[in-house]
Amino acid sequence: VELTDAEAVAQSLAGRPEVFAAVVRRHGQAVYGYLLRRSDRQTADDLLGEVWLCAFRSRHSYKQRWPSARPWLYGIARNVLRARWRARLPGRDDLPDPGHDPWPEVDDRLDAARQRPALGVALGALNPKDREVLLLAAWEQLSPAEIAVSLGIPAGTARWRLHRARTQFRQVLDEISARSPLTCTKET
Amino acid sequence: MDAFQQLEEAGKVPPAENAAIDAAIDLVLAAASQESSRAGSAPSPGRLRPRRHRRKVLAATASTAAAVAAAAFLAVTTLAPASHKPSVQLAAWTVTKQANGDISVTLRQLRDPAGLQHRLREAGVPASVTFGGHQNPACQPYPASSALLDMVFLRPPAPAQPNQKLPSGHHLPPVQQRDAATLVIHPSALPSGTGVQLAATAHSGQGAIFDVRDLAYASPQCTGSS
Repeated sequence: VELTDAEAVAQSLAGRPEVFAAVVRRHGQAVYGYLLRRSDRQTADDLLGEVWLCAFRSRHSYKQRWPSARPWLYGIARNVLRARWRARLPGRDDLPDPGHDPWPEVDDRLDAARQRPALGVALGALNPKDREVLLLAAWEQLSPAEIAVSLGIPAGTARWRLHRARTQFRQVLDEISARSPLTCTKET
Repeated sequence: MDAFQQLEEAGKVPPAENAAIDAAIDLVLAAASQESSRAGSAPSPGRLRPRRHRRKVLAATASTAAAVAAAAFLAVTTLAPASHKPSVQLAAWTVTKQANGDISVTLRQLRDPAGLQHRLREAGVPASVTFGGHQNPACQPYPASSALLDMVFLRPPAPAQPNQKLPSGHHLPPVQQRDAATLVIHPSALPSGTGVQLAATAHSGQGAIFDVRDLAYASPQCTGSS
C-alpha cells in the first residue's frame, strides 16, 4: 500500500528518514515545474535538490492534517527562489516576489514561445501578492485552501485575493484586446 | 479560450529529466543517511538502495563500543602502506575507518596510488585514485550537486582554524591547500552506482594535495565496482 504524504513524513520523523524519498518521487516533477515556471531551466536544475533538502530538513513543520504535501512544498520552493534572488540582488530590501519573475527567460516564454504578450502585461498589472495567488491557481492547480497553506495565509484571504486577481487579470486583458485592433489597422 | 485558460496554457513547461529527480532522491537519501548516523541507527542497506552492495561492508555495525574502538585503532596500522610503519616514519598516506563508518584519508606523499585505491576499496569505498595530474580516463563523472559533494566529502577537523570551511567544488583553491591533504569520506552518502574519484598532485611548498575529489559512475575500470 502506497503511503500518503502525511504517513511518509510521519515515518521519516519516527526513525526512518529515508521514507521521505517517497514524497520526492511523488512530487518531484511538480516542484520542478514550479521552479521552471518562475525561473529558467538552469536555475530550476540548480535549485531542485536544494528545495528537497530544505523540505527534508524542515519536515517537522508539515502538518499531519494536510492531505497533500504539494502546497507546503511550493512554499518551500518559493523561499528557496527568494533566497536565490536575494543572492543575485545584494543590498536590495525590496525583494521581488516570486510571482513577479525578474528573469527575462520567463518573459520570453510568455511573449515568444506562447505568442501571448498580453498575458505578461496583464500579470504585471497585478500586485505581487495577487499575482502569486493567481499563478498558484493557474499554474500549480491549487485550490484556495491549498494556496493558503502554501503562502501561510488564512483561507479566506486566499479566496479573496484569487477572486480579485482573476477579476483584474480579465479586465486588463479585455482592455488590451479592445485596443489591439486599432494598432493592427492598416493605413490606406 | 478565456483569460484564465490562456494563463494555464502559458504555464505548461517540459518535465524534468529523470536524472534530475533521481539526483534529488539521492540527495534526500544521503541526508537521511547522515541523520541516521548522527542518531546512531544507520539504516540497513535494504532500506535504502538495494544496488549498493558496498554498504553491506560499511553498514556492519560493531556490537560494542570497545569493538568499534579496537577496529578503529587497528585500521590506522593495517590500512597504511605496508612498507612504511607509522611508528617509525609517517606513511605516504593513511586510510582510517572511523567508528561511524566514515573513512578519513590523509595524504603526505604522492606514492603508491594503486595501494591507496586498493585500501579505499577494501574499506568499502568504490574509488579511483590517481597521482600526478592525470585522471583515470575510464571514469565517467557523476553530475553531483555541491550539496551532495558536501555530504560525501565531509569537512575534516581543523583545530588550528576551527571556522575554516573546506570548499565543496571539484577543484580546491590554493588557500585551502592545507586541508586539501585530508579527506573524510561518508560512504553512505554515495548515490547508488557511484564511487569517488580522487586525483592528487604535489604543489611547491604545499606538499601533496587532493586537486580533485569528485563522484564518478561506478564501473570495474573506474572504481572497481559496478
